[in-house]
Amino acid sequence: MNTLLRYAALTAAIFLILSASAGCWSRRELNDISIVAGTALDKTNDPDIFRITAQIIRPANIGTPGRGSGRGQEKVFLNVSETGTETFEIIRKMARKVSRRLYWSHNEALIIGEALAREGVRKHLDFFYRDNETRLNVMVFVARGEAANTLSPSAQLESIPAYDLYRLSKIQAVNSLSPNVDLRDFLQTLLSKTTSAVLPVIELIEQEGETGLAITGAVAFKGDKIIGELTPDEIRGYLWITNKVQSGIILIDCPAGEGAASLEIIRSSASITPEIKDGILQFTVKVREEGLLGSQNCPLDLTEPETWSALEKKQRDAIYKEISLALKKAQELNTDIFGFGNKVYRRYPSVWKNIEQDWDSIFPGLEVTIEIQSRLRRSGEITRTIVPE
Amino acid sequence: MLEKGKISAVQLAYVVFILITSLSVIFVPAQPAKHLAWLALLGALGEGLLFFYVCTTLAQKFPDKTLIGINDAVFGPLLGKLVSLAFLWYFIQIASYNLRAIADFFATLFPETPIVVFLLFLVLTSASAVRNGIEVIARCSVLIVPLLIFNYLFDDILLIKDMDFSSLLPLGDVPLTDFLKSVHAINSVQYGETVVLLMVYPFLSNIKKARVSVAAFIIAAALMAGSAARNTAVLGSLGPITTYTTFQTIRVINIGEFLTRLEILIAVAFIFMAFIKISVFYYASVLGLAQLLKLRTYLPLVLPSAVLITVFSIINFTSAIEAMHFTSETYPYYSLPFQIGLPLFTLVIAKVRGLPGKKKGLSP
Repeated sequence: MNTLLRYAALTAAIFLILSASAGCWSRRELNDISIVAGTALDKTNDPDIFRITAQIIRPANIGTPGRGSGRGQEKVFLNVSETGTETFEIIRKMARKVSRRLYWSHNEALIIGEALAREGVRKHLDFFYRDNETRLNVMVFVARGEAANTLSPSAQLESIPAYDLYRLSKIQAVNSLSPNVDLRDFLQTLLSKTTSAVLPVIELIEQEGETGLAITGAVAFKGDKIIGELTPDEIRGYLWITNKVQSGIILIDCPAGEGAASLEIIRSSASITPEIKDGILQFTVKVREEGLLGSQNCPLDLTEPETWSALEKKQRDAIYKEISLALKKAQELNTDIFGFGNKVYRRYPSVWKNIEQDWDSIFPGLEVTIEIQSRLRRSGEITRTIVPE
Repeated sequence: MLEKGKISAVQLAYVVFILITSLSVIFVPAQPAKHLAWLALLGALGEGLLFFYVCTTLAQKFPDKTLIGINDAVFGPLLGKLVSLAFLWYFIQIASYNLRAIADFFATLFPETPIVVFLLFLVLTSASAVRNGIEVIARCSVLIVPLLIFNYLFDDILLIKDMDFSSLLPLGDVPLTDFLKSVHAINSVQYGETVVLLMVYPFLSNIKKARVSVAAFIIAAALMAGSAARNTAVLGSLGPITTYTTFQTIRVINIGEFLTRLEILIAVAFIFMAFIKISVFYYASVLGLAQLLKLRTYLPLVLPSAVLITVFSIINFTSAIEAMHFTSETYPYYSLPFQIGLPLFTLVIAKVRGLPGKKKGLSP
């Protein structure tokens, strides 16, 4: 009898556990959710009201390529927008238009409209870190014009624009002409009193009769507001200093005569060192770079030892110019995008306490020494260019 | 004796490891120490070893007595029982705090699920472990700890590319009082809580080897300091505003768009650890109560205590914010008498009274 009771209890327990393991309250079945791929934040005419556009994947249209493809095929995404005063409020309101619950874990792109970014974005971002579904590795962009528009170009490789944008931003490392910023980096600068962010700019472009999306530059922030735009040279200068250059092309004039050569950046590293000499705060930016000859259009044999070292010097000068341009621009705009203040805090915490308040007046006049060690390592598959001897 | 099981000193070390690291799997209560959290963890190790030394000295003086027996012997039957009651209250409280901590953690991930669901499943699992005695709890720990250590190291390696070690600088700049506050807060929820082992030491096969657990202290401290440093290096200035720092740090892992979303491993590890920690405290309180009431077995007390622990964990705090505030502000001082005050006092009284008295005819 006792054993029978034990078996009954055991069976009951197993049933209980099995029924519970099939799911719980907060389960999200795939056919009950709609996956958000990208988000755009925009300003409206009313200063208290702003607009969020979410790009949602349409599951029914995914996974049936081939038959019936081409023009006229149904879109695999749906853009929903809603206005309101607070982020989560707006997002929940979207349920009026979307029949499934929004799911945020696969949100890969956060696009901020230029107008909103000029006013300040801090107050709109709390949700994206606080919520349990959102993640820190979403990439952040600033859109020229309305951010919502950038979520629906017609020419792209990926079927979902937001994911295309995500990939586009990752591939920018081959040029190092725009920064790659994820939410973690961006929020860290928003939490800093002095360091500010540089965000990539995206805009819609016309190509071959279709609308495409391109990363076209970068803007510098001061705190949570845009303060100015950077030229390509300045952007790469910024990336050199902050040790974010991965690859890229340095275009230089040929040492003699007409034409130019492209030098490819193979690797680089950089360091920023603050130093206090005779009571004066000074900075040294050290950049080490290695490159190779990528291609040339001048009819010279650049691999001759003398021309080769002339090339190396030109490479060094080009890097120097980019860095000094970036420094000049940042000091003009008076925004510490390099995190110089942070470096002082880490090296001289007691000094920092005294100057932190006045950083805005100190930064524009900072003296920065640039030290560059650059090498040109190889010439590729050929030595002399394609000219007869 | 109510408990017939015996555990080895090495098994005890495994239990100690889990008691210490349990909470730190999701966060380190070192907010005031900011980027020096890792150093505060190592500082707390010193304080914790001191506490541990006092407790093991006490246990070795009375090798066949649990805390209840020691209190009776040292303070006399009446006062001793009062002290024992205070300890039992403390153990039940810790079990319920830990239960609440894990339930709050999961409720953050699954906001719609009533917290009672998490509480019940955990407490019933623990009840089953407690019914089976200390041997089973210890053997479970032996199974879990290698997985945990692997988890720690694995995550550290995967995050190397996301780390910015300059976030750990400068080494100064945290006011000494804040730093010491953190050290003590960490000690009180991690190392200090090993005071509960006073209920377990008599079941060691060789009490003289109790201090093997110091190894567990050191390994645990090294791993936790490593993960605290890693958290700071990854989250930087985001660290101080993050609720579950370790958890958020693991969410950052992204190896080639392929090895991502590993945080569930942390959640699973935390379930295991909280299960052991709750079980140990639950076991200590049930066993202690049975000894106090001179019962023949503690089994009838297991389920009623489950109810008690569950209810306490619900009514102790109205919100997770309150629970966290209590853990970092009140608990470090509230726990002082239990973790060091009373054990030290007991030890001193025992010395003064010349306890334990020499058994006749045994020692020359």
